[in-house]
Amino acid sequence: MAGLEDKMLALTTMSSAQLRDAWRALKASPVPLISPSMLRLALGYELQAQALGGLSRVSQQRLAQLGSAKTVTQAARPGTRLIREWDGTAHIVTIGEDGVIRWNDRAWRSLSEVAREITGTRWSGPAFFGLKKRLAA
Amino acid sequence: MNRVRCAIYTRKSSEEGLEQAFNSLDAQREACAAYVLSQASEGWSALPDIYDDGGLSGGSLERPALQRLLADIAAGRVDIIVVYKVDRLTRSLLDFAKLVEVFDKAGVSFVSITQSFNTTTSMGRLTLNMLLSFAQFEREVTAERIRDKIAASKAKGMWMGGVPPLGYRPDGRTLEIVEPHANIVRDIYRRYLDLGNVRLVVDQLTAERIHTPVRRMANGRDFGGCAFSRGQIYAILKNPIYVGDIPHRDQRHKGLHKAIIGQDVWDATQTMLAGHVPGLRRAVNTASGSLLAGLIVDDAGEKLIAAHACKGKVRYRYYVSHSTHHGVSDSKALRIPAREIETATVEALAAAFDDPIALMARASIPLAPADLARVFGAACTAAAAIRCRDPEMLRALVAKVIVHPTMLQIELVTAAMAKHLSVATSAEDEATLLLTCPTRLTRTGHRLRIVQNDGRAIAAAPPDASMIKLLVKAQRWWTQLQRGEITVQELAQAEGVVKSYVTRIVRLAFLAPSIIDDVLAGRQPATLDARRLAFTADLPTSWTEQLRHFEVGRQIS
Repeated sequence: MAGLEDKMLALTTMSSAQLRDAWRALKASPVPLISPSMLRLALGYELQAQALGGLSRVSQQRLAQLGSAKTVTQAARPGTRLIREWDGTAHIVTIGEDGVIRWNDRAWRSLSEVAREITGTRWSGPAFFGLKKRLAA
Repeated sequence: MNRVRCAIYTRKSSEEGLEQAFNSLDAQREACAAYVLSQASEGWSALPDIYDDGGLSGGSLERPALQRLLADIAAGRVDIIVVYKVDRLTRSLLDFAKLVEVFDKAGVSFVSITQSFNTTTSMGRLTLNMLLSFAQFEREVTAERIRDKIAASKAKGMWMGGVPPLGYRPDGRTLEIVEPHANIVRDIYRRYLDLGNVRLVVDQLTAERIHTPVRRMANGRDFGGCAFSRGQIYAILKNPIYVGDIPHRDQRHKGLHKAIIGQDVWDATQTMLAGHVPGLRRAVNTASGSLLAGLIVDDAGEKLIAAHACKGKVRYRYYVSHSTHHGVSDSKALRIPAREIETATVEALAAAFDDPIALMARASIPLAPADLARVFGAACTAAAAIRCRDPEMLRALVAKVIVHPTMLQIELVTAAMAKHLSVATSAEDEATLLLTCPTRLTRTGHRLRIVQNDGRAIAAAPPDASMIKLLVKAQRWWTQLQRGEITVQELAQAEGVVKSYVTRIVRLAFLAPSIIDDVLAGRQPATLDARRLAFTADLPTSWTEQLRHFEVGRQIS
């Protein structure tokens, strides 16, 4: 990570114009109208995100959902057991201690896959199993 | 021509005749060697190693030479095993199957020189299986015959061997009284009838230095010469040999030997023993219930005894290692405050009943959707009763509580559990389910305490809403600023806040992803809160520095 460290170090001495140039080079989008110190922070974040990976998809989705403030989805914690009655049958899905979703003696990639298998149509898994709730208006 | 390496294996069951210069083993080996020589044109040659099991039964594979042979086969030093007869290898069909598997894996075949057959054909295998069936049959019939013989001999009152009871020495097929030892036995009976208490008898004997006499076993080793134990005294008091009988399983026959004590003494002793059955250490029949009495063991399987100490009117209850309680000191012995371990057990049980679906899934009891409401109702009632420490119910539910250093294991009786969930089960009566509850034992002073493991509590803390709100706000504002169409001043005006607030909050969009993950999951250290996030003077650009700044990932371990 010597490259990243050098770039981060260079940020600290850059002038305002150099910072704006660096942003254009990095993002190919208009430069935000913010102070040089904040632009320095933003550039630092982008550099590190490029080198080390940014916010996980799950966290991004969660922040976006919280931002829109219409629904809230609980995480399916390891060790949880979800029951959904469908067509007169109680379907029980287990989230193993390892976080693997198990139903019908099989591991599944997502709750939505399970929901689709049960109903035959596309469903949001968290919604189907009652993890996703509409926020009170 | 390929060289075929032949290992000759010989075995003989009894030791009779083994001392002879030319014994059966030698005869077997010679016959085998001659056979190998006769196949010299095929390239056969006998290995110099000698695999001899003298005086070892063919019923087990635990034979030194056989094990050595198997090791050599595994090492690929043998091509063919030559035996005199197949039953030299084994008499058990099951063991033979195992051996054949090992042979097949190593590509080794075997030859029995006096029984010729070819195990590569189905007919050969049938012959072999029949042969071995008869060998095993012979073995079992022999064992039966011996058992019947012993039963019949005992019915005639004969002494059939073993360590003779104190006061007797073996005399052919009967016992002869050893007068000095018999006196000790009579003395023990007399003392017990006087005192009515085995513990006091042991104390008296120990005080008067009356020890078990030194006796010599058939193999020449001496035993005895130590203090009598309670168990020995009980064994003496209950042994019908002393009244002239020979016991066989649950029967008693008139013995050929003379009695040491009279019938009246024997009857009085048995009546007294029967009347002095120790009271059961049970929660249901004690005033201050030790709920887990008789159920709790340590991780080595040693029983913990319900014990208490009184100071004034206060009773301090413990569960104590059996050995400690009986005066044997041991550094690993446990002494656990009863209330703490009972609470941990009760809570774990009740928590299991709070999630009846999981419980039923673990016991593989199928659940019909129509039963859902009923099961949940029953589980709720059961959990409440458990939390009230209903002793009858707890004792029905719990088969055993095992105390490990880092956890508590509860064996739950499946049948009783199903009953309390009002569902039918096909499980057997003794079937159990293992519940594990993470607690650890901590030593404070001289006694052990139980501490709920707090690792889970941290993970289960709900995420901090005010911090998440700030993060959401930071993301939203940064998205707007990033378009490059709006200044911080304009944004602050639109949001109705001061410019410096926007500046401070937007910086949170540049937090290290791991910090955001932790906050979203509620895993952040206790020192990190919304105030701290919003009022950090100089947020470092580098993620590593940010982690150091907020001490994330240090406190959780």
